Amino acid sequence: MKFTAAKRIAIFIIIGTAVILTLNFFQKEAKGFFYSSSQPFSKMFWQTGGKTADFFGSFLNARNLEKENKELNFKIQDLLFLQNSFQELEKENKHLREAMGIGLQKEFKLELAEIIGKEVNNDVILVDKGLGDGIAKGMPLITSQKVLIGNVVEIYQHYSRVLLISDKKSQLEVAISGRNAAGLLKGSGDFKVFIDLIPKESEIKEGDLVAFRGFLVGIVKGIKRIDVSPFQRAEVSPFFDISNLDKAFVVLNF
Amino acid sequence: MFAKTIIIVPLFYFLSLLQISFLPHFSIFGITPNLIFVAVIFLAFFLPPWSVFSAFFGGFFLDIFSSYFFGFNVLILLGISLFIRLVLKRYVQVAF
Repeated sequence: MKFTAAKRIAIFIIIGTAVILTLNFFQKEAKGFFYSSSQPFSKMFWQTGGKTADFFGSFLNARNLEKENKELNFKIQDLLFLQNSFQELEKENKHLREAMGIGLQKEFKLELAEIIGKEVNNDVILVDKGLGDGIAKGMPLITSQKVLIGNVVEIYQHYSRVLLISDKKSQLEVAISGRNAAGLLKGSGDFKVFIDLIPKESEIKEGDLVAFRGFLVGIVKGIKRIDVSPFQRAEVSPFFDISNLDKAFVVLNF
Repeated sequence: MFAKTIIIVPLFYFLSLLQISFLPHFSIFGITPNLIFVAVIFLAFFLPPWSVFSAFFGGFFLDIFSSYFFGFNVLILLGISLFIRLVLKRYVQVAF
């Protein structure tokens, strides 16, 4: 019995699709296997990509400008974090006076994780730490400057998927420092975020710092007020920059 | 078919690794070009006999490195490549 080219292609598509759909029953194992075997290449590509992007970035702008800018950004983030901490401490101090002291400031237990990839269509990254390293769903991923990147949404034995705060599925209740205002931080994809549901009475301004339970998120860069709505919306410039990042920390005792 | 698979599987594996680990550093306004998508469309136009295999394996590797279920990208890419194949076969004539 002879098969024509069209029949062969049809058989290939039917059998192939059936095999692939069956793989869904062993999704974790199948994906885990590919992540393990690809890890050395992924890490190499991620680091090379970062270096190449840095090189071209600095080449296009000016010598050392990229590096200097990065260092200054780190310093700004450190200072903003300090400012934020001081404001929080000031409030805490008031409560402490009333409550006769509480425990020491919570220390975070961190696990260093390397970023090995980013999904094509979503703001989701893959890190090289998983169940075996004590990672659990919902744990936040932060930078060394305590900048919030996202939180763990899917765990494999040695890998985890982290939903960036800029993903469309991400929602966090954040505070606007020094304004006594809060809102819902939502991602709009492509590394962009905004705060929704900020009460209209709250006075917020461009340049205000956005924080999530002591972690830095970004800076308010634009405010939208609609007369008929009881809420206002703020565009936020996030602090994290995935292209300049290859290591981050998972907060284990969050 | 065997020769095609031997070439296409490593090629698309390499492209998928580039896509998830190298290209995110070069996003323009947060948008990263999809290499696999481009490669599948390119092959569908210029190497039609390879299009189905490339769509199949390209989709498979995209599914591995995404949070979608297995088959999501396979079905999308297969649909696109079969559509291009059909259009080329029925409506396009190349004069030599």
